[in-house]
Amino acid sequence: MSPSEWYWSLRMAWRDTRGSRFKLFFFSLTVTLGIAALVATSGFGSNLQRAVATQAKSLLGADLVLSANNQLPEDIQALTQGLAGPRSRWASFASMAYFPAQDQARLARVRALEGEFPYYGTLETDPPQARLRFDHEAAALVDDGLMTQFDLKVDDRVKIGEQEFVIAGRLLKIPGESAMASAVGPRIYIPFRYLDQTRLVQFGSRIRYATAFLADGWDPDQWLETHEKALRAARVSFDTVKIRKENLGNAFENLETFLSLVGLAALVLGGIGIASSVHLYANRKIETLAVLRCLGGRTGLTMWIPIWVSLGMALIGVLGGVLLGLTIQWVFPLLFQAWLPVDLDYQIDAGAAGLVLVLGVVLAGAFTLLPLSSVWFTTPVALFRKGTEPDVRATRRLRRLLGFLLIFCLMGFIVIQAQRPLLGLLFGGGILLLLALLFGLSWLLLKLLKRFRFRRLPPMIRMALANLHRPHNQSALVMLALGLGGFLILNHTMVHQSLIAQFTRTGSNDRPNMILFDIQSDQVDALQSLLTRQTLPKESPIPMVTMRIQSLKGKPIREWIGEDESTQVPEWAALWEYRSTYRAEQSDTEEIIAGEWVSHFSGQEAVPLSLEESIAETLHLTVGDEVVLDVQGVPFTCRIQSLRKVDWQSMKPNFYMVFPAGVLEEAPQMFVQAVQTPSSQAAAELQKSLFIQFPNISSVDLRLLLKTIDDIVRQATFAIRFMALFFVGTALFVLGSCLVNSRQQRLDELAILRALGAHRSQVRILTMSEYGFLGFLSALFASGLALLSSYLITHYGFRVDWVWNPSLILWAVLGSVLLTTATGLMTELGWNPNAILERLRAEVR
Amino acid sequence: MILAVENLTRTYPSGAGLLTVLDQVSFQVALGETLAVMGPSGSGKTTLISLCAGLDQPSGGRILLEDQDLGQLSERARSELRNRKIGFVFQSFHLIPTLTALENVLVPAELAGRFDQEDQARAFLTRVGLAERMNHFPSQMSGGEQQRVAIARAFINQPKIVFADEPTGNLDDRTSETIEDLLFEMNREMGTTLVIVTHDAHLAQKTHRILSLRMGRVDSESSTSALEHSA
Repeated sequence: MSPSEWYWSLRMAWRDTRGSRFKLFFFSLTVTLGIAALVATSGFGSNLQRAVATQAKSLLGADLVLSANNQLPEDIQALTQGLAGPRSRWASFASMAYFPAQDQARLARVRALEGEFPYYGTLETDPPQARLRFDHEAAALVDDGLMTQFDLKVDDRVKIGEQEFVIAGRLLKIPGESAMASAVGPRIYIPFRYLDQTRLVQFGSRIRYATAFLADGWDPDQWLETHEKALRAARVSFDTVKIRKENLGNAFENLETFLSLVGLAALVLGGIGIASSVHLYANRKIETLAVLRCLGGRTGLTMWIPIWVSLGMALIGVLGGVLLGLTIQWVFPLLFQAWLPVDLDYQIDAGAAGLVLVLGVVLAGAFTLLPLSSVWFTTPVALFRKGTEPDVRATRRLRRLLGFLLIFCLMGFIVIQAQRPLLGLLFGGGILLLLALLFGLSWLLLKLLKRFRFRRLPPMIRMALANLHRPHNQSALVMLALGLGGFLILNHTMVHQSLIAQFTRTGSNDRPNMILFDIQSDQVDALQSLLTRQTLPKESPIPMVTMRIQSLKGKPIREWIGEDESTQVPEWAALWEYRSTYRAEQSDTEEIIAGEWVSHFSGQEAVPLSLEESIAETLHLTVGDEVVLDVQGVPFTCRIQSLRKVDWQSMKPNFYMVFPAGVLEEAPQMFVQAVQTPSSQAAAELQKSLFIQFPNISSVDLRLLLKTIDDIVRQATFAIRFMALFFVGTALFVLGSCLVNSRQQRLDELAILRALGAHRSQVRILTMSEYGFLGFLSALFASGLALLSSYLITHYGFRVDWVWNPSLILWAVLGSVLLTTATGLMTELGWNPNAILERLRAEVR
Repeated sequence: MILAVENLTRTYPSGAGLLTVLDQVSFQVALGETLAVMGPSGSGKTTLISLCAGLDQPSGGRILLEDQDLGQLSERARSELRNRKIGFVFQSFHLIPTLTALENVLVPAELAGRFDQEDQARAFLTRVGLAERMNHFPSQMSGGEQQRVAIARAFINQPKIVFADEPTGNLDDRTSETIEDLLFEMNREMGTTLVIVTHDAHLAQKTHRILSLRMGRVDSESSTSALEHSA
């Protein structure tokens, strides 16, 4: 084409939009939210990557950290002897913290610290120099949230075990830890040299020891490569900046993938929406194109007019999406900061936004080009003879070509976004398949509806139902988009409710709601007296003996370790320190599924052992197999006598391995006990008494745990609900576009109805019913999917009982109906129901 | 001779085999002549005009427009020929709804790459009596006014031949009369050849010659009194 022809086609395209620019702008917005989600996601992702890259070292706080359940073994200490550079050490454990001024106690994660850790990043405190007091007094840094909760001030006191500390400051931020971590277990830092004075280091204490190294002239990853085997053999865990970065990178990638998935699905739906609008637009341009052909315009020239308009719509939609996405990037850190161990700062990633802009225009353009195939071969003969079809075969060929182009662009877009071709292809294929499946489902639902005649319904309602099948109504697409948004919200609400219901049941009045642990053998009797004095219903203390596996079926456990779970044992299960119990009776939270329960044993042969079914499967053990357990240095040869199915949801102490009475009574052991406290006050009173009399005994208040879990789940689902808004928004834009497209037809129908004698109220019922049905069906679609998905997630994922609340579905239906009805009625604003003749005359002209 | 049609045949595939819409039609039109094509519905009038304007391809025979065989031209060449040598006036006016009257008239000139024809277009619109309506859109004009714009558009590129398909079919009698007069006047002034497809015997009588079609064949060909007057 010559430059003057390009100029003419562009000028004609601009003229062609006269009178419908707002409408076309509105149509273009259907892709905006999808693009916005992608821009926001990719920007958030690159901000995260940058944060991890720049703050990588502060994620760990050191170059190498070694940790174990005991002090580092001597051979490992010898290995680290020659490592140049400063080192720090600490011991971490859970303990009750008692605040004398408030006379209250709370379970906390205590870290007894020695050295200058962290070497990278800073331990943020208020006042900033608070940690200096560690050098000359028994000082503690207390979690900011805990200080606020108990109204504590600097220089107040906190008692950990038998040692009292002065609170030197608030612990604001710990490098490498998210704010959510402190919500789960508030942190208290104390000097390491006071660890013994707490008297919490005693038999059975669950203390984790760690040593952190700052590398001076040596490479921690290289050192690790040389000594990894020895560390594993000594059951010493290790962490370097590189490992932490990789683990974090994987986690962030998963988060980004999920967010991208939502954005991409919203974009595909928006793309289908814009394509359907362009289809209608193009069909209205058939006459114009035919006239231009008659006047001497070539197809190759005149077709550029709708192409420019379509590409313009795509550009506006995508540009709007990019701008909105850049704005939303501000919101993402607020949504996720609590979960992230790095500080996010907002920076516009122009490269990522530019890439989405270019790719988005290409993709949205491909979506808009496809429907133009129906008018590409428009023949000018149509002007002389109505209904003259364009060349059907050529149209079909072009449609196929543009369809391939669209799929190619879509897959290309996904692959470039995913940065990994195979993952991108799988991801893209999955999305297309899922959307096709869901679209098919919604289409089927509408088809089923069409089969019913609903003869008993009032005529206006019947007509409203029939209107759902009006050509170009895109009811299935609206249902799909709105349904997916509703599904995301409902699914997470249902899973949330199931989880909370589980804990609520556990914490109900007739069941124990407080677990006491770390009870020493010599404290059992005195503890029972205390509980009796406080008239608290209790269950019998349960003994716990720690042990490790030495061999399975005659083969040393180390030879079993491997990644092929069909024949090998995962490392964690092989090296785990099992806390087992012994008893004569079965508990009410378990049932025997194979073998026989043995109550007592006093023989010389292999000890009969009862194994929980899932660990038996992991260890490849069944009834009759032999296992040798190392019970604190003493080998016990055992034979599996029974397999148990355990109700882990009961929140009562349950065990993988249970011995019969008569075997472990003399072994060093600790106890755990479940208690029922009638109120929060009674629980606080018990915790206080426990702390004063038995400072080493920790307790978990299930009410508090329930609240913490509720807060965490609420925060997690908020982010997902936010993403669901992209679907709902896209659905409303698609719905709005469809309604704008069919507005004239609807208004004509209403005018005819009015002319035939329908009351205004009847017309209103018809309008509201039609939109209401669309909302109702969308909610039905969303609810069905959410019920199925939440069942699968809770039952198979979390392994808790699935509960569903019918009122939730009712609210969803109500919300959806209101939303669609309001959107629908908005598009009919400005219609004068009394101007019937004007409307009909206009239609004739 | 501006237009020569020789043994023109057009068939379409249909459920019952090939449907012959035009069968061995032959006629000629001289430069400056006016011709009315008449015939009942389904006689092949529209097909004939489509073929003569190069909008459709014949199944057999030839169409020579200024001695150029339309069947031998590419799509691009036929488009250019339509733009430079052919004008159209339709029954339903077929103005582009998003363009003003002036812009509608300018479209053929712009398609020819001439973007300096605004004065000419204004003169044409003034000539058809729409000096005050140049910036109005089709939806703001009456049927008669729209057809005047269409006539101005048909003549803007000073074509050799104008095809008018039932040009007064959608207009009332009074307006029809005005439009017919305007069409013939413009045709005379511009020295153009005019081919009108019509059912209206009164309009046909204003042309030099009437070609009657029946069942896709030429039924009769006759001169009118208009020819005698012009002679």
